[in-house]
Amino acid sequence: MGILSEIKGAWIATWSGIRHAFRPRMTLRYPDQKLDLQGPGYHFDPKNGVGLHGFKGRHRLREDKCTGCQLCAIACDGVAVAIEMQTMVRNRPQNKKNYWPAVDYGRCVFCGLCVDACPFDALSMSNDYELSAYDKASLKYTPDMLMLPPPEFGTAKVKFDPKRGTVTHG
Amino acid sequence: MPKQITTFEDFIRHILKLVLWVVLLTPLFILPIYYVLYTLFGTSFADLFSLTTKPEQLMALAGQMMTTEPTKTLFQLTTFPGFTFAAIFSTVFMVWVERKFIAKVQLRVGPQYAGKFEGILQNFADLFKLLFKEIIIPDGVDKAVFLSIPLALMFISGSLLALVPLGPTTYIADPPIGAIFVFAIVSFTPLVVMLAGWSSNNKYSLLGSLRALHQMVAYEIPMILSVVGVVVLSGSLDLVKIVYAQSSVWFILFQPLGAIVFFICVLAELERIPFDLPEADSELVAGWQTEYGGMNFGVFQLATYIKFYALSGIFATFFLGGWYGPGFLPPEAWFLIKTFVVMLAMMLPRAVLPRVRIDVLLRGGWTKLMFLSFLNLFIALLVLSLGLYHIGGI
Repeated sequence: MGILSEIKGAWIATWSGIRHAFRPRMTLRYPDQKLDLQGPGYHFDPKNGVGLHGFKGRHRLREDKCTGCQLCAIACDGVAVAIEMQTMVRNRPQNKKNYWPAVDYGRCVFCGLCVDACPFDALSMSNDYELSAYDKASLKYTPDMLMLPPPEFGTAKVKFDPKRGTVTHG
Repeated sequence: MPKQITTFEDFIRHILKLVLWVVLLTPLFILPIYYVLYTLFGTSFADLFSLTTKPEQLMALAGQMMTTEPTKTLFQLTTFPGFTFAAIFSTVFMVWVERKFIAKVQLRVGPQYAGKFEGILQNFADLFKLLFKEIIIPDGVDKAVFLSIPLALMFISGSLLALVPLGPTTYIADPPIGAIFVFAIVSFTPLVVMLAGWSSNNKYSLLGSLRALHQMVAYEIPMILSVVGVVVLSGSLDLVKIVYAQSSVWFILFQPLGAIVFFICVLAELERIPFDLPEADSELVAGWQTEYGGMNFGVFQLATYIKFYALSGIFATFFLGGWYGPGFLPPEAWFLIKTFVVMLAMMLPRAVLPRVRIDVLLRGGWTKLMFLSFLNLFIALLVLSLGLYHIGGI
């Protein structure tokens, strides 16, 4: 029955359209509302050797833990060659050579292997995903930019309604 | 190309030439306007200017002009049931509604930033963008025909507007053969589309116009036949009398098939999704409108949306009982609510349905819809012969 199945298909599409016209929309109005990414970003626990689940955004470098061992840069060499070690005078006891990682976000693929490679829990990933810039030079983050904490993010939370099967933001 | 101004002498000569032309042309334009105003209002300019300081008298004069005869027709044609109202309702309001509604159905947000409330001024932004674009006339086009096409489409849409009865007395024209008149006006569109494709001097425009021509001709005949049932039931071709015949029962109850066929044919006539083959905006450039840019394109859009409003109003007149409704709202408001609902129903397929193939489209128009509209006519005759409904009312 060709024509009946055609009519049925058109009706299913139209009915789903009518249903969606009366449902709350799950699309977020992005620059006005921002999603609350709960918890810190992706971490690696060196004692137990497991990665802790989290959002993989901009890196966060801990000034009091990094020793300048270059393991993150070596891990990155096989993937994106995004990490470059730079000299920056901070005179920390654990980092006498003043060697710190700098990340080029024009190359980074946010795989998290550098975080896995760090044996001192000095490098982790934060919730900051707003990294756009007007030129390539601005995408090269220096170590002191990586040491800054991520900015405060929005408060919109995901609400899941299992009864109606809908996802909304509020 | 005007002569380059290099010296002060040239500058003075240029200015004097402009002043001469203004002095020569002023009587030609100002005097006729003055005499027209004098004969219309019986007042001189001095009296009219003195009215600007007295708002009550000015309002009274405006009210008198709206209700008394020599200016009433002008007011109706240009303002309320006529062109300005339809243009504002269909392009300013309904285009915004369409964008937001389709965005809602497709889980998007739609225009957001132009204007304080939900991007309500987005259409004005688009209008200014179109107004400031250059009107490009390609080489080798038939210039007179090419430039008259937007105007011709506007004429077609505007003449459809004249037939829509918003209320028992709120209409511009009420010819005794209104139902035929609608299809006579609609039948001009393929001719204009063909001329547009031919005069553009572009083979793709010509092919696009042929595609549009096939589609429009295939869907005009079922569109006319689907209304024959309504004409049989109401016993009149007069649109106002057709509405009066629905004072107790709307014709959509007796003629559901006819309403569906008319709805589909209006969608095909307006080249809206799922029948937007002539102007498939995701694949083609613009079909037969390819060579039209800037405000020519804007006029096309305006004409299409006015036609959309007029045909939705005619659907409400034929099948949804025109201006009838509970008495707490004026009849014009009921008519506009019904038109709004019909327009929303015509927007919904654009959000959810894919485009049909050309062979499916033509076979559907020439065979299936034709068959359904004949079936609908037999249903109308059955309703009459069973005595459920008498011609012109229960």
